Amino acid sequence: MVLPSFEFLLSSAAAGAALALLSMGVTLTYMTTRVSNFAHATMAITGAVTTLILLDRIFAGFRDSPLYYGLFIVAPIVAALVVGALAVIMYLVAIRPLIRKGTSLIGLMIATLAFDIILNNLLTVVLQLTPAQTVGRLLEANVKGYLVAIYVPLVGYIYPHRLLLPLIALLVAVGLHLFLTRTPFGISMRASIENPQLAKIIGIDIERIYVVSWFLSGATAGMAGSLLAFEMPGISPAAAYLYIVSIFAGSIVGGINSIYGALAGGFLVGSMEAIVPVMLSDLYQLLTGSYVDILRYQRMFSFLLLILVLLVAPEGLAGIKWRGIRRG
Amino acid sequence: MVELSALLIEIGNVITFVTVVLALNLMAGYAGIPNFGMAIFVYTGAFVVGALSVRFALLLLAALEPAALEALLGKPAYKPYVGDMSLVEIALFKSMEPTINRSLIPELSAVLSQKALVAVAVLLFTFLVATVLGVFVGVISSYAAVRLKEDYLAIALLAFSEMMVQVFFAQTDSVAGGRYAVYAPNVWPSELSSIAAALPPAVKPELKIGLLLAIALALVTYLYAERIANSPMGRALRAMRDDEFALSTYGRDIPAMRLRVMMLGGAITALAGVVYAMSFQPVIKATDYTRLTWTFIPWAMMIVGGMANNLGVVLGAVVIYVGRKVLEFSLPELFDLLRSVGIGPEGAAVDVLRAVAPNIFVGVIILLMLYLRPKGLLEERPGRTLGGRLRDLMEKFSR
Amino acid sequence: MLKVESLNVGYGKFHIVFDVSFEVKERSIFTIVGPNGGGKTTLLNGIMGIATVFSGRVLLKGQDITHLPPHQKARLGIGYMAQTDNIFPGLTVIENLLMAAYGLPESVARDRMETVFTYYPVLKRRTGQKARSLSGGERQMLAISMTLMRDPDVIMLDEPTSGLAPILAKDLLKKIAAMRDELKKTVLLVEQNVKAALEISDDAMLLVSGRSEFVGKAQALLSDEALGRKYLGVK
Ligand SMILES: Nc1ncnc2c1ncn2[C@@H]1O[C@H](COP(=O)(O)OP(=O)(O)OP(=O)(O)O)[C@@H](O)[C@H]1O
Ligand SMILES: [Mg+2]
Repeated sequence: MVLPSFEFLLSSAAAGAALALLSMGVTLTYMTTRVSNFAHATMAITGAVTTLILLDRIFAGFRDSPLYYGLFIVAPIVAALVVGALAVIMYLVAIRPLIRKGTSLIGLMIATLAFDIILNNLLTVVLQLTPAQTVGRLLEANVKGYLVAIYVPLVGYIYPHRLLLPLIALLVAVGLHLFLTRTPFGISMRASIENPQLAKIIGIDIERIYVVSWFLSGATAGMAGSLLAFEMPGISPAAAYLYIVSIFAGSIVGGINSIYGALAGGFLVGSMEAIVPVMLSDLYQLLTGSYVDILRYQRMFSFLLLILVLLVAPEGLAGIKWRGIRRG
Repeated sequence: MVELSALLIEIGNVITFVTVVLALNLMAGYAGIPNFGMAIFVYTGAFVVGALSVRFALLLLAALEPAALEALLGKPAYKPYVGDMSLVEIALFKSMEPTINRSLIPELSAVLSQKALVAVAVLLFTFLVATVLGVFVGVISSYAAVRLKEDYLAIALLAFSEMMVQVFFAQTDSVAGGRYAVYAPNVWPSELSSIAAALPPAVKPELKIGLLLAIALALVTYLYAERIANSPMGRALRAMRDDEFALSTYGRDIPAMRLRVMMLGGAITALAGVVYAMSFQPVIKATDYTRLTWTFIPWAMMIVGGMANNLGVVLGAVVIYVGRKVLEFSLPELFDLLRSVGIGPEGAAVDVLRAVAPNIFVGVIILLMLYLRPKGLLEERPGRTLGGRLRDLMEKFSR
Repeated sequence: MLKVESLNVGYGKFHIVFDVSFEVKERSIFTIVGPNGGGKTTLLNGIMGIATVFSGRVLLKGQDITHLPPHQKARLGIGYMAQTDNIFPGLTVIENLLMAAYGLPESVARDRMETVFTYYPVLKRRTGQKARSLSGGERQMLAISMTLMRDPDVIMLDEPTSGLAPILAKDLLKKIAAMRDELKKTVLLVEQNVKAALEISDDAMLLVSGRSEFVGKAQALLSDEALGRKYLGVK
């Protein structure tokens, strides 16, 4: 490959966009409640599973009508609501009681790991008991088979749904920015992150902000997972165990105390994971004439980047030291 | 009725967990290093058994008994895999090839049982290298520990373990079998095996040797952990965990202390991995050394038992392990019972639920413990400990 | 208006304020003085609910508010200007002020802001600026303005004059007296500027090592030579 194809760049951008959303979610709950949520990847998978169930139970009935494409709109929204609610439940049931008891940061991390194990295993049950057991393939047959490729001059054929993830990530980023800078609630969120105590004193109910931040974190994870479902050949809860490393890598590369940093860091790590191994494989082939599959080590790159940033520039992309969300 | 050797293997597993949890407790409970990367430490030991000891044994044979090596590796059946490689090259690069490995290992074991000197050398090599590598992984981890705040450190260690075990080792077939299994050789010379065979009960001698080794390792680890806990260093470590700042103002050399604990804990865990892979789980696959099994479950055991409480974490290991097993084996019967009143799950659901229930059980137990008894089952409460009660009783009688 | 009954306050397991009782009458200024580290800030934090209250009660207009969350106390009519970290440096001046009126209708908040600007016209010129770029004095003005945004009945000010030039400090105390006299506010004040503060105060308390050594008329404390010499360095 001399020049990467547009299709390849698009799928890399989709991977980057998904990770941008996910890293942002991890950063959000870390900034507000100081919890590093190890269950975040499994939450994304929950969004994917929600999508598959929607497809299997509802949309499969519309195979021959244009309504079928409604899946692309309905699924991310439903997934966002379901996973957002799930995140709120997690916060209220598992996290907040521990915070109130004064549990240490590590104790809270273990609690999220515990929640992760529970959720992940429940998803296994759901997936295995879905009548169409290989729901991933069902999706492939149902959706991919019906997707229309559009011819774009100079670029070639593209599948429009591929644009969905980058587009939605962009929308979320812009929406989030407007929310944080233009709405009183968004500003109060920034205020609570900067100084929770002062926020309380001047009459802001920071508990509500915490609940909302968990909802937003879960909702974006659900949305990302739902859209990823269209990219993945199949869906397995076990995938979450490795994916969480990439999510944290994005969050830390961006600078864990910056929402915008997390969006950038996530995009960087996600797209790099997709692009670099392929490039390296090609380079290797060019030099030696034989082929090695570096793609299977792709998660290694996010780990290396994570370590590099932690040890060399722990402030991440966001760089300078500050508390709160950067603006302007 | 459960078969005897199956039962003994379960006991071996429990003891392995006991050792691993004691080591984790040294690192996390006493030194305050949130080691979310225990899996890589355990896998290090298994890796030495599956990948390094075999190669070492073959190389030793190449030097001492070329004829034996020729008989092992020079088979025509291997030709399609090895081409015209030399025997040493085959030993180094192809002994992990699944097809070769599967037939090579039993034969290698047979050879070793006849050559006491080589077998003993391989044994020593295995333990020595596992110790060194365990120490090495510990050093890497504490390099990070010096530089990172505890939550970043936890993330980094988790990522490190996950990357090494699940990406590097699980994806690279030629190093240690990758997704395919490699087999653990039997490295016991026949003399040792026959002594073990004489011991009751009637199971394979290597299982008995493994059990004895596991018990010895657990015991030594326990005694050592107790000594650490009661030494000035142990008290300093506890102080460090409770208040790092206070301790550093008194001039204690925290990085050096953490380094020592991580090296020690690393070595112990790797050795536990060696014994486990040699005796209780001789089919070695990196993908089996998951974060769930070898990081999360040991943490659960430690939390249930109570951090920085050696007796407590031993109890925690037993409780969690037995609890999971009981759940796994009693669920089908419970489902039968439920079905008889018409509400139980059927078909595929039974197996799925049986597989996930023990994991969900651990998750729920952790959340409950963190909330209800964050200091563990054996929390030291004045007057409520065994020692305290004994003292109370004695005072009563002496009056 | 605000009544404190044998309050015990601390942080976590540290017990810092012991059995303190006093009452701030409506439209009066009650001043707490005492040496550094005596627990004045802790006491206010206890009243507001951001330090741990071990026992005792806090009554606002007769209603027991001891264990209400801080944001509800703020909404019930207590404005608290903390001694440190009392503005959001990363937010603009206008955002700071809007946050201090969070939950009120937008039009009300805008009105209050205009009122506040009449006291501190400087702030009006800085509305779009990040609070971290204000001068120390301007920050203090912003912090006080924030306490006024909810038009609270009781205003608690923790050393509002610290860091101000003497002339500005005097001016501020005058403004505080005007709050009582013109705006009809009830003020609970903590001050190091003992003499000047007691002069505008109705009642006062001397807090030493977490215990109240004196509660009574401000004038009485001002003229008590023994206490004055011992703790306050006045006269
Ligand atoms: N968050 C905290 N945790 C534990 N102890 C604290 C905390 N904040 C303050 N203290 C301690 O409480 C005591 C009283 O402090 P406080 O700030 O209430 O004094 P103060 O009277 O306001 O002093 P100053 O006049 O200097 O402002 C001090 O000894 C201080 O060290
Ligand atoms: Mg003070």
